[in-house]
Amino acid sequence: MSFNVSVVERGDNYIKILFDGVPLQLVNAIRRAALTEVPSIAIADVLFIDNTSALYDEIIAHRLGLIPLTSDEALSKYRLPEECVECGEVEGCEGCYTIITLDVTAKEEVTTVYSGDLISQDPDVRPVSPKIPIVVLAPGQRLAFEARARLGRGKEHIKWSPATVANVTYLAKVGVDRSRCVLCGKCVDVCPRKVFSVASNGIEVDESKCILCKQCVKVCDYEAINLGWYDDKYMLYIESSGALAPERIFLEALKIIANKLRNLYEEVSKLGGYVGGS
Amino acid sequence: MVIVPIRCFTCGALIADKWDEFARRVSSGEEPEKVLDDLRITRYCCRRTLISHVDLINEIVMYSRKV
Ligand SMILES: [Zn+2]
Ligand SMILES: [Zn+2]
Repeated sequence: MSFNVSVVERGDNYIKILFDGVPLQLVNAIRRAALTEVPSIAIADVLFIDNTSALYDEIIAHRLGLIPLTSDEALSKYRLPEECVECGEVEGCEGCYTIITLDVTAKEEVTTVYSGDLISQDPDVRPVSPKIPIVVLAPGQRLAFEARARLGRGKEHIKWSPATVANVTYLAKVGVDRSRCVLCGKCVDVCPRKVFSVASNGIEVDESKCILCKQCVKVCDYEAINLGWYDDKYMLYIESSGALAPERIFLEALKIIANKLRNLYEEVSKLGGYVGGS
Repeated sequence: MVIVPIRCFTCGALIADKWDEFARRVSSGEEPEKVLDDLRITRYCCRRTLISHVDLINEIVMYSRKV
């Protein structure tokens, strides 16, 4: 099987990868693994010492859980929840958790508590942004807690998913039949993505912008536009919450799929009989 | 909402860290559309979450439990 995988675009928090000749099932498996299987670190439990703020403990704990924490180093440093089960959940179990604390008292004026006020025991595990508001305190109010952050996976709770968005799209194939086209320009006007433009030798098409909305097909009176998609080309888009770099999410997802396949192969081999391939 | 949501309800993208700047710039008279573009909030799910948010916490913060 010959295939081609290339990075089309890399933004500050996303990556766009073009797959040519890779089955859709495999690309989709990577997408699903990126959302639900790739681990990252997030706050899992919170022990409140004092909370006189306007928000309930539960709301604050929920907000804390949703704060993305940098996980690049944490992946190799901390044990996964599956492994933690074996370590017997000793109080604070070393190597499974890191402690994050906060103690803020508002003095004379109304104070906003930000993610930047969190104090992490592990300098490699910190909020991806220091500007996330946690709660607002009136003068005299206090928020103090001790939280435990651990690794987890998106299938347990979405806060552990390092990817906020992961999707696979078809690549549009736009053809204009020049023998039918009368250059009326209706498709140029109707297209929301400006795929079409009028050139001296007919309508010019930029397929990469197309979102397959089919407005042009509907508006064309001469049935000159053929809209379809390539059978073997898919675009994978992964956007990171900031916990892991987008390309890291992609590579970890691949590793997880490869591991699952290896496990499956070994289990099937144990059944005896013939297992083809290698 | 009482306080700005940490993530977009629909897609899960982090938006709370952009709230302060968004609120400050919009209340000083800038066009919300332009501010959202500047903050690189591109999807309409995230845009509606910020644009429709009313920061009620500042109204209720003084009336909470006695301290
Ligand atoms: Zn443990
Ligand atoms: Zn969104």
